[in-house]
Amino acid sequence: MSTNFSHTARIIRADQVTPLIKHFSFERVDGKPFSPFSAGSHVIIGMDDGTESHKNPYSLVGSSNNFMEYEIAVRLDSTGRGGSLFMHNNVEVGSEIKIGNPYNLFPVYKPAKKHLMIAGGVGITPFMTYIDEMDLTHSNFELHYSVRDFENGAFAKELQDKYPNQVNLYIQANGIMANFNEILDNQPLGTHVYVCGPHQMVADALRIADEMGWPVSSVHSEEFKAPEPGNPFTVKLARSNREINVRSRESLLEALENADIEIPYSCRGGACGFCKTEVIDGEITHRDYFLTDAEKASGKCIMPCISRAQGDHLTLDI
Amino acid sequence: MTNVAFKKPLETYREDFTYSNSEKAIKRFPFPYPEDQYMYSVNMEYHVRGETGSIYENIFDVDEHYLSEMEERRIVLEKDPNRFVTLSHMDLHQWDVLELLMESFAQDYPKYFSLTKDGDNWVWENHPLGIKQSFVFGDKSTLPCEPAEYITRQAQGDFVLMDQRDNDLYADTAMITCAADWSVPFDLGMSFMEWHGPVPLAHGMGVFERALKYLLMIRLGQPVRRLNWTLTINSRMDTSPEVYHEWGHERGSITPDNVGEKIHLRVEVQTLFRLPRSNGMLFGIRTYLISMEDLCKNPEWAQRMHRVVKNLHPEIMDYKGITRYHKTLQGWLSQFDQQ
Repeated sequence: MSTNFSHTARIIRADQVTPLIKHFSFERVDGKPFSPFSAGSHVIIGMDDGTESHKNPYSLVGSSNNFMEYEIAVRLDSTGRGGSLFMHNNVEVGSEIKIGNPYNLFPVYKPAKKHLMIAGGVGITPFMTYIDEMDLTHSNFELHYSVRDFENGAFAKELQDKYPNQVNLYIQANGIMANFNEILDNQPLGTHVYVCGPHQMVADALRIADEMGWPVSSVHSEEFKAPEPGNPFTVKLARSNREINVRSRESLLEALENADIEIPYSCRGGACGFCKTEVIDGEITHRDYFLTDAEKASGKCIMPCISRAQGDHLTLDI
Repeated sequence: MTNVAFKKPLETYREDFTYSNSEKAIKRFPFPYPEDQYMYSVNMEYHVRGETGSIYENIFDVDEHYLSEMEERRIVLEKDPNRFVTLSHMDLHQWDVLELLMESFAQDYPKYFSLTKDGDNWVWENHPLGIKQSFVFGDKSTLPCEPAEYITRQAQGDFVLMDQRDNDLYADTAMITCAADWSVPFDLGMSFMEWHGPVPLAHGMGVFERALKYLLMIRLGQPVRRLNWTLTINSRMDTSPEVYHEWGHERGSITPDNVGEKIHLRVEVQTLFRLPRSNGMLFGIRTYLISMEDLCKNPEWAQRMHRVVKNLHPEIMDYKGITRYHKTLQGWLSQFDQQ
């Protein structure tokens, strides 16, 4: 699988839509249209600040019917490893970024009779394209969107204005909290629920759905992680007989890429399975959602986008 | 630019079976065996463009049989409209496929096809079939039939549109008029494993688990392909169970004198494309037929064909419906394999 970026794009709009979220629109520098994409798709954005390169996944938020532009919304994560910081501080109108083809790990369940969306904070982003598609296909949908305060509710006003009957806004600063028991109760047969937001909110919603007897197959959540920093370690490459140091702030995948080793990837968040790599020696701290428990226990493979060595070394079969 | 010498008068795939391959078509035939022994495998590769003149030169191959095959499709659908079937959640997939086929055809064969877009107002022209259609992309009422039916009546090969959900692929729309003995009204809505249920041996080998995992990860702009094969008596495209009474008995008609003319190798070039708007998949099954006589004009193919037939696993032989005439075929082919 090719890991190269498909296009170079230029930022044509950059708006601070909330104190923490910046909304970017961009077009291809060659003037051609982007590919159409499906609701819930993400793209990998490549940034280079001169000393470090970042490749981060972001949900597309624009209309899936305007291919001249793609849009993303980036939440500033000041504790992260710098990608969102770079997007906020260094990327402006006219800046160029690299972009990969859209990929979807959070697709709409097409045969559902009703689509029930539960969003928290920046978790609204995949639902922007969901709602666009559902409007287009005249599907039955409902959105429950929790935000800290109105100021921090990205797209909240435009969604409420456009879909007053389908959009329910919960402003926590005003003491209005989403009650998942009520939301999930009494939904018609054939409803599918989609959850995207902070980890605790997703976990709560999934737990309550489970307690209420929702079928697992009717409950969907976007499970993306950002790579977390960890202890530095050394990785040995058995086939090419090389040794590479993985710094504490970089992922194993990034360290390999920085050493010009191409590993296929898509989500860079432990979900898609593309970057699975065989391990010959060394203990692994698995952080992904992709490998089965048996695969994790075997210690014979790793998802380098997100998982690391437990000790000070790993040997890979590449 | 690709030029195609469309066969005229139209060839038939039934009754008098006037179908035949030109020298050029024989030369570009997708001979499917990499080894002397055939066994199931996850034999997939990227669907990248091949050499000029080869069947892989273009994304979708349009060849000399185009007009004849489209007429055959029309005949089958007239007799049995259920060969095109679709479920209600497949509208986006259908428009995806219409766009993919129209754009590929117009790009690869500008002499024969053109597509003009003004926003959602599209004009499609198919010169070989004498079609000019103005329509609104996304608005079914502006086409004479379902979007996928419309475009696959103008494209060689069978097509299945799969919806991806629950980490599985469901066959939820299909245009199947040249099935190698499987029924689309029966298989409609089936998951990947259900659909492949009847295939012998491969399940135990884990072929389908690996194939499904691979297919689920196919990305936009990176289609893949594989070859599949069987044998068919006469140049009959429509060997579906619905019309078994028309062709099943023909397996008993094989004699040493008519093997070369009657037995055809039937190769499916199967392609898989991620569909952009629906996140579904297009499964294209492009069928190529060649008589044993024509195939054996190539000595390497003839020798390998003999060995593959000779070494064929009995269960695969049964599944492909070859058992009844296997000995006769092997005997005839042995003349090409004297080593």
